[in-house]
Amino acid sequence: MKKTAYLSILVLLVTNITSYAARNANQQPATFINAVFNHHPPKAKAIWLNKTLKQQIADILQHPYHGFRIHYWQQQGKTLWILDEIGKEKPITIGIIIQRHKITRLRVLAFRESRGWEVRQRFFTSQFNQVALKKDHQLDTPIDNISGATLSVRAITKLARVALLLDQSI
Amino acid sequence: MTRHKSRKFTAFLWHRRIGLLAFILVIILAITGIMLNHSHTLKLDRTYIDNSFILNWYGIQPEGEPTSYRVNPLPHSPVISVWQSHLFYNHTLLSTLEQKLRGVVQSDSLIVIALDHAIMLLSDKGELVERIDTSSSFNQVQRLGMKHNHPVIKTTDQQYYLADDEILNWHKTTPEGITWSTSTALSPQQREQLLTAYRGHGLKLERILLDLHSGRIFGHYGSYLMDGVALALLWLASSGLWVWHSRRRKIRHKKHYIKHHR
Repeated sequence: MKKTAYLSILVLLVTNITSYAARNANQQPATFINAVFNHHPPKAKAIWLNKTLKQQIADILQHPYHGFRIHYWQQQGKTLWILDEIGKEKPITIGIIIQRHKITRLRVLAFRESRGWEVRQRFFTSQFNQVALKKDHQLDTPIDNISGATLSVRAITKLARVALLLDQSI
Repeated sequence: MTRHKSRKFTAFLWHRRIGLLAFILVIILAITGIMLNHSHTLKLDRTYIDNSFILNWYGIQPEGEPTSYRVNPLPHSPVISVWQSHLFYNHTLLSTLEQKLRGVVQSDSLIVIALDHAIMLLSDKGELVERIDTSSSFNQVQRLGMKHNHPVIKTTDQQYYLADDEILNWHKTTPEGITWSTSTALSPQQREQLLTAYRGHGLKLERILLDLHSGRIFGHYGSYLMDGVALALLWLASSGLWVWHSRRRKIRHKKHYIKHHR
């Protein structure tokens, strides 16, 4: 009986620690860039936003975009974008890799909200693989929502659309 | 009958007295309540108060002194200032900061602002071009300067990084030949203008309406005053009902009397 109780406590502790680690496992953008380009990252480039592009980004984000320039990295037809958007209260940082105008990988680099950390998991981010942008600036594949993380899902989907739009504009 | 009449008269009398007493405060409560219900539509959360009496009443005053940097040595050069976490381009609020300002330089047409873990680029008109997070690239930034017409930063681990032409990539460099950006003192007139700008972004109209609605604008006892108004409203509703019911009963009695006794 005692053994079962100890075992249950241990399982609970391990589950909680694993879950806490999953919530807080942020990756530095520089580490992500290095990993994507096999430790030989290309020089950063920048895309200047003209009026039309800025308006298109604002339409996707549903709020004005402050800034005229966005960094990106490009090598062998692959572009990498590091973008931020507020989910509910705090910014979510994501890294998106695009090849031939399709997302090949999306990773949540920093999640600062207290809820909705499930969006970091692969079961969610893998939905974006091979997703492209339609003419109306919507994704060509629907992304499943996660209950309790609606705002984070929405923010990440918006950023995926922005990255694809920027990739088309370079 | 006399006792009943007197009770009704007392209720009516107090209904009138309390009604008159709460009149102004009920109007304040109603109007502020309606406005707060439509706060976003009425842009109350985006409207700032610049009336000095109200700002003084709220004690909106920054602590300490501003830290300012001239963008270039020319006499009419724009000034970048930080005063209690508020970043200004001349007297225009750019954003609020959670980091320290480490220096400001001008590189071609871009103004470069160094913070602890970020570089901000502004156009020469003070518009934000880009904010670059440096926390994953360098240690904390300590100083910003210029070397061969390019921005250079010194980090807390005593490393020096020189930016390229477009301020996109930073490469290690040596400390020789760097002109460091230094802070400047504002003239009393400039300081006053900055203070006005700071105070102008310190108090939203929504805050005043919330405080008026709850009574907190009248100080510590203001909320008790508004509690009193709420109780007065309860009394007005009950006494109004009582007076209305009594009058209705009286009219019925009168009609009954006319019908059966005349």
